[in-house]
Amino acid sequence: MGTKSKSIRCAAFIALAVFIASVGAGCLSYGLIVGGDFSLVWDAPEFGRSMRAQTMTGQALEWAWQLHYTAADPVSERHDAFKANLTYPRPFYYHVQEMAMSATTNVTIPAGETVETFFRQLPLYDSFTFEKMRLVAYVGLAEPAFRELATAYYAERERVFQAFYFVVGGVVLLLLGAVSYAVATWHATDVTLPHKLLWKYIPLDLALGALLGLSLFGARLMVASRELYQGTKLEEPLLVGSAIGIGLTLLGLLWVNMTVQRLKHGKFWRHTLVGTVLLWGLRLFPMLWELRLFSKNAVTMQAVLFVVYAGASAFLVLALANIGTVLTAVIAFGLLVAINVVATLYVVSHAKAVENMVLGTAAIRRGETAYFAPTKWHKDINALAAHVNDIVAGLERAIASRMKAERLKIDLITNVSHDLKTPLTSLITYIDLLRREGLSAESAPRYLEILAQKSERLRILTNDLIEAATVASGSVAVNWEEIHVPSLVGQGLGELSDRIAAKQLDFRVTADGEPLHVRADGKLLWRAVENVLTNVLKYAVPASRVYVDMVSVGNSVRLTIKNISALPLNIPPEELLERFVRGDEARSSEGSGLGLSIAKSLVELQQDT
Amino acid sequence: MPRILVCDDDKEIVEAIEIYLRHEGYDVVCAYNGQDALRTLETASVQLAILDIMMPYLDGIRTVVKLREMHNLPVIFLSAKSGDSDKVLGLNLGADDYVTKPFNPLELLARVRAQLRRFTALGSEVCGENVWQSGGLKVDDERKEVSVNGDVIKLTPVEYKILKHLCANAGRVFAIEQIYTAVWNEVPLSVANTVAVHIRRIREKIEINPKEPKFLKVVWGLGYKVEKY
Repeated sequence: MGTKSKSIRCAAFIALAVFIASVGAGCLSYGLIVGGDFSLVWDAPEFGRSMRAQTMTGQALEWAWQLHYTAADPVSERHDAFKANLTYPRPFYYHVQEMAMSATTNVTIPAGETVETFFRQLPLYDSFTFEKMRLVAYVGLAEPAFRELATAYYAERERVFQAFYFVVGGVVLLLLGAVSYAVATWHATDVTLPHKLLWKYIPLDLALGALLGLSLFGARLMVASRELYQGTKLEEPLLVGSAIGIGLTLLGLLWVNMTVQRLKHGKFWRHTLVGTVLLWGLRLFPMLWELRLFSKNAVTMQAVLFVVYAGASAFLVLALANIGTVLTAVIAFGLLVAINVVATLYVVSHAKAVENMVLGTAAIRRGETAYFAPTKWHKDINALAAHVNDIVAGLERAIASRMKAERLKIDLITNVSHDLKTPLTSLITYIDLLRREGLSAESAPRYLEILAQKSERLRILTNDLIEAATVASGSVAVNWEEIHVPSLVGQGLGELSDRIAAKQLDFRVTADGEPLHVRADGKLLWRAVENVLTNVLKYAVPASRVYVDMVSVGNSVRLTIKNISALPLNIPPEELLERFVRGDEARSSEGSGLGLSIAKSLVELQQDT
Repeated sequence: MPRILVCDDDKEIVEAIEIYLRHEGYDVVCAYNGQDALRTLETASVQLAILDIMMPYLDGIRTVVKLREMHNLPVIFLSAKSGDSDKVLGLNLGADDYVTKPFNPLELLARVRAQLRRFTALGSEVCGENVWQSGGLKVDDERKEVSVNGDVIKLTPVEYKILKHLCANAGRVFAIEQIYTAVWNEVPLSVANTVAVHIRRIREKIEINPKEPKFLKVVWGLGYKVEKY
């Protein structure tokens, strides 16, 4: 089935619905205008009681009231004057008795009957007694007048009922039309198309309110119009009233149209005043909440909590002091205990969370990696924990990248040392082979000697360089032992005794104080000391004295080696420890300029915490 | 004559070593990576292997591990890796000696000789009483004789006493004072140098490379010891 035929069917259905609703509105208007006062519909169906209540009572009361007002005058005069004013059209009986005097209208009470019995036999009567004035009034209706009135009443009732059926039928038709219209509109609304906003800025609920108000006003006008026109010549109000009713109905259908469209688009609430207010509230509330309690500071939160707690406690203490009954006292005491238990639990859990943070951060300071889980109640601790977690994560990343860099550095040193040493090996071995087998040229042995010397020097330099790099990178395992420093120095001097003797150096070794033990790696420490001693052997003035002093300083041993430099030293002492710095500026002596630098790195390597 | 396998990815080094070894009268087979070396070992009878560590396809460490599954022959590592940990690793995994590059050709030859002698000639000598042996080092108190890999070494009486004392308690570290007391029978008074100088002299006599001693080791800051094998 095509969309076109569907839309045509929709349009036809909508037209039918509008028609039904309009007919309903017309019926309703007619019923309202013709019916006027609908109290007869749900009032007593019997004429007698109704008449007493509605008409006669009011009239009689009025009469009695007027009599009372003119109490100063003699009864007869008042009565005569009053009688002249009576306009009630139908024959009726009236009797009033005040003190001793009495007045009667149309009444001839037969002999032997009291006033009361006379009125009692009438089809309709009523009596009033005013104790203060000692006044008794009787009002009664004669048989013909009663019948006339009853006939008129039933006619009226018939008419009102007819009008009421019109009203009910009109309402039913109106609702039927509106519902059909709503259904048709629902089906006709295409969600893919933007919906037509006939009144964009008037909220739907406000519009509905206005429409209902207008309708009620119109209905009241219609009801009142019968009274205004005194039940005659109703053509004019009927015409105007129907027009108003149909107009209001059409407006109502427009509202239904808008509402249904927005419902189908799922934007109903956004176009109502209630929805808008709620939406704003929903947006505003978290903003306020956040502003007040969390983003500003946790201190406010704590303060609020504490004030609530203190206030509740104070109130309960006051209550306990003033309460009389046992039950209320028990309840107040129980509540006091309960809130204090809750407060204690809160404080304890907060303290626990803080302690957890303290222990965790201490562990982090020791170098462990610790992360904190968020607590259930303490937002402030959670924020702190989150920040610490971030710091730890950063630390871990830094350590990881540092480790990686360290590994790369070690790999680099290994590779470079391999690449330097391999060609050097060939160089040294082949020079040695040449020296064994000889070259034919005359000065070849001298040249080969130079080559051998220089390649040896290159070998020492390479080894020193690689050692310096390895030690400086810190990638050397340290085996901690208790080292006796004087033994180490003695062993070392023994190792170097030949070279010392060759240079005729006089070593003066002194050891002062106890203990002369240090915690270090013997091998590494020896390499450091050896480098310094080799330095002495290279640069000291021949046949001079060298002083080696060991002094116990607290937990450590201070080892001092003093010698006289053969060359003038125009270098600051700290700079001597730098790499490739050498005492002789000409750099003519053997050595790489790395010895003291390596010694320094080795000592630093063994500096424990 | 013993046949020696030389394996290094640097052909010039292999050639140079070959020249030295042939000069000494050894038979030489060459290989340029670990796989080559293993293949050669399967076909030829070889008495000693000189292996580089950093080689393509199969490095020296893995080669030794595989080689040890099938063969029982001395292996000398020849490597540019000179760290202590590298040496310990190489020796622990089954190598018998470790020479670092750049090496002294004479030292290499001496080590080759020592390993071969131990492998071929001194396979299973029974020690008598008052005879102490540690690796290739032998101290025979009966004959007052010290030999390294079969070569008799001449020592002074003091040197002999020191070495005998250390060998008799191989593996134990002796402080300088203890050595002095044991050897000289005197109370030691600032004797560090005396003992140290003697020890150095002994080492120069018994070690192939005194700077990297194999038998008589310095424990820096503590004393000296003879390794127990």
